Amino acid sequence: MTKMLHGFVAIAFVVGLGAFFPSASGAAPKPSGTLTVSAAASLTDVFPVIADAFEKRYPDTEIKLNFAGSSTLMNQVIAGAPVDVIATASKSTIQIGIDSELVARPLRFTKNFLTIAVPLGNPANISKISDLQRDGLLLGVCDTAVPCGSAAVELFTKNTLDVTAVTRELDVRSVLAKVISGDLDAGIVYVTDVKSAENRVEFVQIPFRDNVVATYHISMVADTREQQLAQRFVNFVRFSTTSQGIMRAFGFAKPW
Amino acid sequence: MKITANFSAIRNSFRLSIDTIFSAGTVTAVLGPNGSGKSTLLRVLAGLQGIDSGAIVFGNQVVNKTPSVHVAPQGRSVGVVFQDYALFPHLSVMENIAFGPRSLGSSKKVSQVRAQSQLESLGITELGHRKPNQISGGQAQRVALARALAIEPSVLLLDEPLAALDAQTKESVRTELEKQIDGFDGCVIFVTHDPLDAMLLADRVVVLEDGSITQEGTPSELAARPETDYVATLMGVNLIRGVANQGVLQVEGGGVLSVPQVDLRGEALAVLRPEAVTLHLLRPEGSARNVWQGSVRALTPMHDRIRVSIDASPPVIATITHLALADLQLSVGTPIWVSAKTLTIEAFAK
Amino acid sequence: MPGLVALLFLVIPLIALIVQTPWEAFPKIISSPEALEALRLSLVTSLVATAFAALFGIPMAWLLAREILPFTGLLRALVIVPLLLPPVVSGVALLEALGRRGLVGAFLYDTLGITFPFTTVGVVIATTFVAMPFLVITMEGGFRSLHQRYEDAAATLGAGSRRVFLRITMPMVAPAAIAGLVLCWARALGEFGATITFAGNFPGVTQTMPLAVYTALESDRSVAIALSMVLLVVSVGVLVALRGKYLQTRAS
Repeated sequence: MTKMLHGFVAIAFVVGLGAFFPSASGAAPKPSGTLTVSAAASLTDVFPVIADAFEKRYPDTEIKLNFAGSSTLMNQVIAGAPVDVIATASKSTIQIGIDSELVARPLRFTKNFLTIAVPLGNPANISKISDLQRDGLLLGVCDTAVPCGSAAVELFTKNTLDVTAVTRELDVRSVLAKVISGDLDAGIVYVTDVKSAENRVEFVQIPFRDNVVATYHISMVADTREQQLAQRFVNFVRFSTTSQGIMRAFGFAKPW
Repeated sequence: MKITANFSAIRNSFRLSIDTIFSAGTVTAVLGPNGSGKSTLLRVLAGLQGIDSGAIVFGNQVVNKTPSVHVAPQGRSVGVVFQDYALFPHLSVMENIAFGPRSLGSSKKVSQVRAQSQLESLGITELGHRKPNQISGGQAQRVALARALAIEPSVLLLDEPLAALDAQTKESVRTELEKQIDGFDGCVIFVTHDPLDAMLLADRVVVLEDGSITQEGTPSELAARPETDYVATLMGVNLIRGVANQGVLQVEGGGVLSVPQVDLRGEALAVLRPEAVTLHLLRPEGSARNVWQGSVRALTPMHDRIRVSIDASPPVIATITHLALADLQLSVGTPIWVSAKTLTIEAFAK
Repeated sequence: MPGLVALLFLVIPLIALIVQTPWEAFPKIISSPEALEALRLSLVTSLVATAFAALFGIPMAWLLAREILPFTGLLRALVIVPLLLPPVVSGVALLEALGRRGLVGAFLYDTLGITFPFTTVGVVIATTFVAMPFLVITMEGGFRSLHQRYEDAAATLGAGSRRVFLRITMPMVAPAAIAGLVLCWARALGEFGATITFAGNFPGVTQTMPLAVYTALESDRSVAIALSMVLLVVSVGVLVALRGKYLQTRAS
C-alpha cells in the first residue's frame, strides 16, 4: 500500500517537472501554465468571461473554474483539493483558511448588494422590504452557513424585520431558481444574480442605506505550485480595467 | 350436472375447437399428445381462460357465451387438481384444504371442520399440520384432491393427476384415485397423455389432437376401433386405411387385404392386432389369405415380447416371443414374409 | 485480488468516518434539537414514503410481472427511469410537474390552494419518487418467479382477486417483498438531491438527515461527520435486524 503511494508521488513529481522545465529554460519568462480557480456560486456568470480575457492576454495559460458555495470551496481546500486561487463572497468564509495559513492574505476585489427577487409579475405584490414579514409568504433565503444566508440575516437584523423563510437553500442560485419557477414568492439574492436572469425574474430594490454589502475576496492558496501565475491572475482580477469592466457589466460594484 | 361445450379458444395462435357434452356422473378422460390443447381445455372449463366464440353451459348455468358472458373461476363450483398439485407452500395441509371453504364464505371454524372431514375420508388426518414440502408425492396428490373436493364442487377437473408420480407410486395412487372419483357424484374430467390412465379410470374417452376432438367413445370402443393413427399407436394395434369392396380392402399406399366384413363398401379402416401377425422367412404355404413381403425396420424389446416394425405395403407391427426371434434370426433389414388370417382383421367404415 | 481491492475500497471510507467521528462531542451533537428534529423527520418521511411505495408500487409490480397492460416492456422502462436519473433531475422534474406553476401543481394550487414544495409532504413525494422503483423492480422479479398456477388454484377454490393477492401471492413473494422494502426504505432514508431540489431545506419541515449533513458541512465539519455516523448506525442497525428476522423465518 505505502509502496503504491510512493509510486504515485514519484509519477506526480516527474509530470510536474516536465511541466516546469520549459518555462525555466525560456529567456524572457512568458506566463504559462494552468490554474485551478475556485469561485463562489454568485460568480458563475462573470468569472468565465474574466478567465477568457485572461487567457486571451496570456495565450499559454489555461484557467480551470470550479464553482460552489463559498464554504464548500473552503472545505475543498482544507481537504487538500489542488486549487490555486479561491474567490469567495465574504471574508469570514475563508477566515478558517487564513487562520490555518492555507491561503494567503485575502484581498477584496468587488462588492455586491442584496435584492429581493420575485417571479415575473410579482404575484405576491412585494414593494418594499417590510412586505417580507407578511404571513404565508413563501420566502427563500440561503442557509446561514453560506455568505448569502448570513448576509440575509444581517439584512433582517439591520431593518428589525421579523421574517420566516420556508427554505434555506445551500447556494444563492437555488434560491433564484425557485423564484424563477414561481415556487417561491420572493427570495433574497444578490443584485448580480437578478441581472444574470434578466427577463426571467423581477426584483424589488433595497435602498442603499438599508442594504447589506457582500465584499468579495480573492486569495492565493498557500501551497500552489503556480505561485507567479496565481499572483498574476489575482492582480488581473483586482486591478485590470478589463476585469473590472466585465464585473461592472454583470452588476458588481467597485470594491471600494 | 351436464356440461355442454361448444366453443373455440385461441391462445398464442393455437386454436382449440371443442363440441361435446360431458355427462353427469361420468368420468371422462381427455386423451391427447403434448400440445394437443388438453390443458387449455381444462383452463377454459375452470374459467381461467376465456373463449373466443361459442358457449359453455354447466347444467343450466351459462358460464361462457361470447361476446359478454364469462363467469370467473370462483363462481363456477369447479374443483381443480393441478398438474404438480400447486399446493400453497406457505400453508399447512389443513390450511390448504380449508382455503376453499373459507374463500367461499364459511367461518374459520366451519372451514376447518370441513377440511378435517376431507382429511379423514382420504385417510390422511396425520398430515394436517405438515407443510406441503414435508409430504410425499402420493400424499400431495391426495391433499390436492381433498382441497378440490372441500368446496363441494359439481365438476371435478384433474390435470394429468398421475404424471408427477414415479412408476411405483403411480400404481397405488391410481387405484386410490379410482376409488375416490367413483365416490364423487358430479362430473369428472381429467386430462392425460397416458392411455393406461384413460383406460382404467374413465367411462368415456375424448381424444384431442391438434386442438380438435378426433374420436370419442368408451375405452373398449377406442381399443376395438381406433380412428386415428395416434389412437391406434396408443392402443398398440395396426390401423390400415383403404377402400373396401366385397371383403377386399384396397390399402391406401399400396397392397390388398382380405377382410371378413364382406358387406362393407367405400372408405374404411382395418384394425390388425400385432399378436395376430405372423412372420416367416420363406413364403408361407397354408390357409392365411393375407400374405405379403417386406423387411424389418426396427426391433423394440417390450417386457416379455419383441415388437417388430416392418416396412411393407401395408406397413405393420408384429409382436413375437423371444423364442420366435431366435428362430427367425431377425435384424434390421432382414427380408421377411408377413401373414395374417382374415378373421383376425376387423374393418369398419370410416 | 481485485475482489480484495473492492472490499477495501468499500470499507475504508466507512472506517474513516468512524475514526473521524468526534466521539467526545458526539452525544451533545446528536442530542441537539436540530439533529433530533432532522432524525425524526428522516425516519417519518422515509417510512411514509416506503408505505406509499408499497401501497401503490407492489400492485404495479404485479401488473408488470403478469403483463396485464399493453406495452409492458415500455412501461417497465418508464418505471425504472427514476432509478437511473440523477436525483437532482428528479427534483427538477417534480418541480415542473408539481411545483406551484407546474403541469399539475398549477391546477392544484389554483383550485385547491395546495402546494408541495417547502412542505414535509413535498419531502415524502420526492422520496417516494426516487425510492419506489427499487421496490417495484425487486417485487416484479419476485412475482415473475412465482408460477401463475398458485394464483389459478386459489381462484378455482373461490378466492376473489383481492384474497388471492393477499393470502397467496404476497406470502409467497415475502422474501422479495422484504428485500424490496428494505432497499426502498434505505434509498428513501438517504435521499438528498430530489428532496433539496423539490422540497427545499428548512429545519423541522424539510431538512432531513442528509440535508442536515450537507448543511452542517458548510459550517461545522465535525457536526456533519457526527450526523453521518448516526445515519450509518441507523441503516446498518435496521439491515441487521431485518436480516436476522428474515433468516429465522426461512429456517422455520
